[in-house]
Amino acid sequence: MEASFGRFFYAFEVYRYLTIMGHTVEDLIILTTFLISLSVYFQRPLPLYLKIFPVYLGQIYLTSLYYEAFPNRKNPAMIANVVDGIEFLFFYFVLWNIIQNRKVKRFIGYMLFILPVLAFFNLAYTQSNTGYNTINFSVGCLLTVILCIYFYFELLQVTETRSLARLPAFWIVTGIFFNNVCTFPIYAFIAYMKNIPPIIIRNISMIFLMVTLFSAILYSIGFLCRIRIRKFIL
Amino acid sequence: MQNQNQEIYFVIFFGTLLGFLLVGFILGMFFFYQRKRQKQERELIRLKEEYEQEVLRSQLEIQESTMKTIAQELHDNIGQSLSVIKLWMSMAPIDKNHEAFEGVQNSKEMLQKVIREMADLTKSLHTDRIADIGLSEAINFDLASIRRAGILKIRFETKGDEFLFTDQKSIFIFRMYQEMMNNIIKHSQATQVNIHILYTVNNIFVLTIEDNGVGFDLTKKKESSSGSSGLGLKSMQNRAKLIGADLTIKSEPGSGTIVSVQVPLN
Repeated sequence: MEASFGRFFYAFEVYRYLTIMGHTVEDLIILTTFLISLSVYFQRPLPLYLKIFPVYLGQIYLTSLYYEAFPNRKNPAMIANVVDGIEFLFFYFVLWNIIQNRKVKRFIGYMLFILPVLAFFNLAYTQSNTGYNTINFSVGCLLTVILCIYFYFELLQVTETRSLARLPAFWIVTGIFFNNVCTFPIYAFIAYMKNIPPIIIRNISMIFLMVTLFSAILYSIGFLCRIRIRKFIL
Repeated sequence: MQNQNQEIYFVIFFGTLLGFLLVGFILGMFFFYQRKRQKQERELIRLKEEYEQEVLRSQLEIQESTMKTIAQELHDNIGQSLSVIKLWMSMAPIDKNHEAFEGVQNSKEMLQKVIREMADLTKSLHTDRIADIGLSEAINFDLASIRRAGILKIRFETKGDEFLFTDQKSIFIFRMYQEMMNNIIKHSQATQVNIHILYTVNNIFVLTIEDNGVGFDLTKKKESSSGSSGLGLKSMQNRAKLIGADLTIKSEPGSGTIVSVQVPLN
C-alpha cells in the first residue's frame, strides 16, 4: 500500500502500481522535506504552524512506512480515512494560525470541531466504513482550497511590507493549495470511472508523484526562505 | 516499448504543464503583491508629505498669529506710550535760550524717528494689512523704510496688471520677500538691489530680487550642519512649498545673488 501524503484509492488495486512505480521516490521526497523542516527550530521567531509542521511530515512518513511494512492488512481504507481526516484538520489549523481576519479564524475554529463530528457520522452511517469516504475527502479538499484562496485575498489587502519571497506562510499555503487543487480532480475522476486501464493508473500515479514533489519543494522553500546567506568579501 | 515511450511523453508533458502552472501562479502572486506594496508605499509617502505640510502650515499660522499679536501690542501699548511722551515733551516750557533746549530737541527728533519706525514695524508685522493694500504696495511701503536708512540703493518696478491672491499666498510671499531683504542687509554687503515684480497674462506672479553683493556657495549652505545656518533659506523653501511656488536661487561667491519666486494665481 502506498499513499501520496496520506491518500490512496478506495476501490481498486491501484496502489499496487504506485508501490511498483514510485513509492521509494515518494518516501525519499517526504523524508527529505521532513529533514529540511527541522531547520525551522534553528530560526527565530518561530510561528506555531512552522513549529508543528515537522511533526505532520514525520507522521506522513511513518504512515508511509507502515503501509510498506503491512501491505496485506485488513481494512486499508479505514487508515486512509483517519489519516486524511487528520491531514485536513492539520491544514485548517495551519490556516487558522496564518489568516489574520478574526471572523474567518472563528469560522475555522468552529470547523475544527464540527468537521470531525460530521466525518465520524459519515464514516459510521452514511458511507461504507470499509471503503474510502469520498464525501469527507471532497468537503475537506474544497474547504481547504477556499481557505487558501481567502489567504491570498487577505495577503493582497493587508499593509505588509515584507518581501513575499521571505514569507513562509505564502510558500506553505501555496503548497497546500497546489496539493489539493491538483489531487481533487484526479480523485474525482478515479471515483467516477469504473474500470480504469492499467496504463492510466500508472500515469495517474506519476501525476501524484509530481504533485507530491512540487508540494514538497514549496514546503521546503517555506522552511528555508527566512535564512539569510551573508556574503563575505575577502 | 511504444507504451513506455507514451508514458514517458505523458509524464514529461504533464510534469511540464504542472510546473508551468505552478510557476505562473507564483509569479502572478508576486506581481500583484509587489504592485500592492508599491501602491501602499506611494500612499504612505503622500500621507507623510500631507502631514508635514499640515504641520508646516500650522507652524506658519502660529507665527503669523504671534506677529499679529506683537504688532497689536506694539501699536496699542508702546506706540501709545511713545506718543504720550512726545506730547508731554512738546508741552514742556523750554525755549531756545534754555540750556536743555538742544537736548530736548534731539530727544524729540529721536522719539519721532522711533515712533515712525515703530509704525513701520507694526505695519510689516500685521498680516491683515498686507492682504488689504496688496502685495506690491506692501513691498513698496517696506522698501521706503529701507531707503530712509540709506544703506542700499533700491530699484523697484512692477509690470503687468496686479491680481490679488485669494488665500494666504500674499502673506507668505511677503514673508519670503522680507527674508530675502533681511539676508541682503545682513550678509550680502550689497550696495544695489533690484526688485522686479511681474504679473503675467496667464496669472503667474514673478518676484525677482537681485543684488550686487558677495554672493554665497548655495550647495555648501544647504549641506551646512550648523543649527542657524541656512534657516532663512529653509524657511523660504517651506513657504514656497506650501503655496506651490517655484523658488530659484542663483548665487556664486563674488557674483551677487538672484532670487526668483514664481507663483501661479490658482
